Amino acid sequence: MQSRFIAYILITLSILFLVPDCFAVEHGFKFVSFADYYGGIEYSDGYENLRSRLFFRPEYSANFEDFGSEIIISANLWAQPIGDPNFIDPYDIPNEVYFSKKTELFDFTVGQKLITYGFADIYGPFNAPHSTNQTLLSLDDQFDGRRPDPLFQLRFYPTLEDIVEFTYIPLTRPDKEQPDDVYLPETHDTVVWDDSSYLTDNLHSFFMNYKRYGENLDIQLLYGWYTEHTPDFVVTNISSSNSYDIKPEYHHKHTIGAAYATRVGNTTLSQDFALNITDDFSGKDLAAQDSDITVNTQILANLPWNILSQYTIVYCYFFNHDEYDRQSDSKAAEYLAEQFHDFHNQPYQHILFFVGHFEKSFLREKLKAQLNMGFFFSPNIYVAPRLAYSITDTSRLETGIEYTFGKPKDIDLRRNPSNDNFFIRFIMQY
Amino acid sequence: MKKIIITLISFVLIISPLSAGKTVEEILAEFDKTISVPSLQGTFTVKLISKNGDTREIKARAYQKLVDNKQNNRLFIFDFPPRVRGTGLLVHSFLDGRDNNMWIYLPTVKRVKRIALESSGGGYFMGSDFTYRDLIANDLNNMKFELLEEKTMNGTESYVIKCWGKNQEVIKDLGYSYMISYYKKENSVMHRREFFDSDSKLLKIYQVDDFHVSGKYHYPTKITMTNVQTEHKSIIEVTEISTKDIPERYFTTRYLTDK
Repeated sequence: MQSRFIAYILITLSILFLVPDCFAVEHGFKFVSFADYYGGIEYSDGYENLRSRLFFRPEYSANFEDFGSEIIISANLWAQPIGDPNFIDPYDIPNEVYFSKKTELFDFTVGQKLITYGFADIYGPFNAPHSTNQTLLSLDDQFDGRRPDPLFQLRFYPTLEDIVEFTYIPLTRPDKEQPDDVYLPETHDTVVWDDSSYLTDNLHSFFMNYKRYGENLDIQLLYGWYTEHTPDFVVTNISSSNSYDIKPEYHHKHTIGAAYATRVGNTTLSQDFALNITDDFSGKDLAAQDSDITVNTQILANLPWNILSQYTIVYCYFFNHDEYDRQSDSKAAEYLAEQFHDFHNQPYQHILFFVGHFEKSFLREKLKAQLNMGFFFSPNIYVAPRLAYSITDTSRLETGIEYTFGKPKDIDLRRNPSNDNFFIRFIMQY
Repeated sequence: MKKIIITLISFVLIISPLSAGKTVEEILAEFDKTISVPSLQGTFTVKLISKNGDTREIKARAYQKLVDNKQNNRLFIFDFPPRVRGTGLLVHSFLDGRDNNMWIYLPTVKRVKRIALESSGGGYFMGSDFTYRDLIANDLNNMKFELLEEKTMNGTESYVIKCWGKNQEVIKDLGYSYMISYYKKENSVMHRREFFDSDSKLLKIYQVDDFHVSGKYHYPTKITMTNVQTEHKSIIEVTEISTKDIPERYFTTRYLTDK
C-alpha cells in the first residue's frame, strides 16, 4: 500500500514539474495556522481534555497564464501538544495537489482535489465524493472535515452558462472513524474498524455532473457510481450467546440526483433531490445501508437587524427499512439492527430534521456572532453558538460551544460519544 | 463569509443617475455618459480608518462590462484580507426592472451560491462606511429630485441636486432621509455626495479626490467616504485601470471559481 501511495505521489509530482517553465508564471503562497483546544462538558462525564491541535496549512500555487495551466500544492500538518501526543496520519499530509490545464471549451485536472456537488451547504445528498472525518468535535470544522481523493476530471463548457463534468476517482479512502474497537454488550460482539488509509479492494468511482447557471434558475444533475466511504458491516452470525468480530466492508453505491436554486423575492431557495441505491437494496442485511430518497431544502434570507439566516430541512425515506433477515435470534438481530441503523443515520423509515444558521456582525464586522441550531428526528436539540473576533487583518480568535439538550441515545455504536464540548482557537492567516 | 458580499467598489461602478425635471435630467444624463464606461477593470484598495486611527485594509479586483443598454455585468475577486481571499462575487444587473442575478463563490467550501443582494439590508459592507443598500441602484420612479443651487464646493463650481424617496417606505429602504449631490458645472461629473440620516442630520460624505480620464469618460480613482457622526472613514484607491474590452467569459461562474 505504501509503495502504491509513494508511486502515486511521484507520478503526480512528475506531471506537475514536467510543465515547461518557459511561460510567464504567477506564483502564489497562502498559509493558515492555528492553535486550538477542545474541552468536554458532557454532563455525565464531567470535564475532560478532548483535543488540542497545532495546525499548519501551507499552499503554493503557480499559474502559467500563457499555457493556461495551474499547479496547486497544499499540505496539512498538525500535532497535539496537550494530552496524549498525537500527530496527523502521514497519508493525510498532502491536501490538494493537482495540475489543471484550461482551454476555451475544456478544463482538465489531474491530482488530488476536493470537489463539491449540489447546492446544499450541509447534509447535501450530492456530497458523495471524498471521505469524511467522523471524529470531528465541531460539525462546522473547516480544516479537517473532508479528505481529497486522487482524481482525473474533465470539464466541458458548451456555452457560457453550462458545465458538463466527468470525474474518475481510482481509489478513495474510508471515513475516519473512532480509533477504538466497540464492544456490543448484548451480543458480545466487537466492531473492529478498518484503519486502511485507502480502500484498495473496491476501486473506481465515477461521477457525471451537469450544471447550468441561468438567469432565473440554477440547475444541477448528478449521477455517481462510487465507493461508499461509510462502511457496511459483515455480521456472520446473529447470536446473543457467541461473540464475533464484526468487520467493516465497503461497497459501491449509485446516486442519481437533481437540484435547483432560484431567487424567491429577497430570499434564495435551493433543493437537492437524490436517489441513493445501495448494495443491499432488498434491505435483507441488517448491517448494510438501506437505499433512500433524500430531499434537502435550503432557504437563505435576511432577518431584521441584518441577521443573516439559513434554514436547512432534510427529509429521508429509506426503502425496505426493517426488512432485514432476523435469522434464528430475533432479539439479537433487533439489537444489532438498531446499532447499525443508528450508525448509518437510518433509525426510522422516515426521518426529518431541521438546522438553522444565524449570523450577525458587530464592530464593523470585526466581531461575528453565529448560532447553529439543529432539531433532529430524535428528541435532541443541538445548539452551537460561535464568536469570532478579528484582532488584525491576519489574525482572529474564535470560540464556540456544541451542546445537545436531552440525554443522548443509548446506542453502543454511536459515532461521536462526546457530544458536548467547547473550543477556543487562535488563527493566523497570510 | 456567508454574509452577502458586494463591494463598496461597486459603489463607484453603479452610482445610479437620478432624474426628474429637465435641468436635472440634463445634468444627470451627461453624468451618466461620463461614467458609463463600456469595459472597465482595476485593482481596488480600501482603507478603513476608525476614529482612534486603527486601520484595516481590503483589496479586490473588479471587472465591469456593459453588455447592452439593458444589462451590466460585474465581477469582484477579493485578495485581502486573507480570510476572504479568493471569494468572488458575480453580478448581472438588469436596467429594465428585472431582478439582479448574483452568485458568490466561497473558496473555503468550494461552492457557488446564488444570493439575493437586496436582502442584505442596511448593514455596513465589510466594516466600511458603505452600506449594502448604498450599492443597489435606485428605482428612479421612486425618487424625487430638486436642483437646489449652483455653488462652489472644494474650489469646483457645481450644480447641487437634492434627491429623496418619494414615500416613507422608500426612504426607510434607502436608510437616508435625503442626499445632496454635487456635479461639476463643466462636465456634470459628480464629485461629492452628502447623506442625511432619518433625523435629517448629516451622516456621511462621499468625496471624489481624483479621476481617471479616458476620452469622454471620467472614472473616480480616489474616493473618501466619511461618517461624520462616528468619525470613521473609508478611502478607496483604484489602480491598474484598464478600459480594454473584457471577454464575456469573465462574467461566468467558471471564471468566478477559477480566479
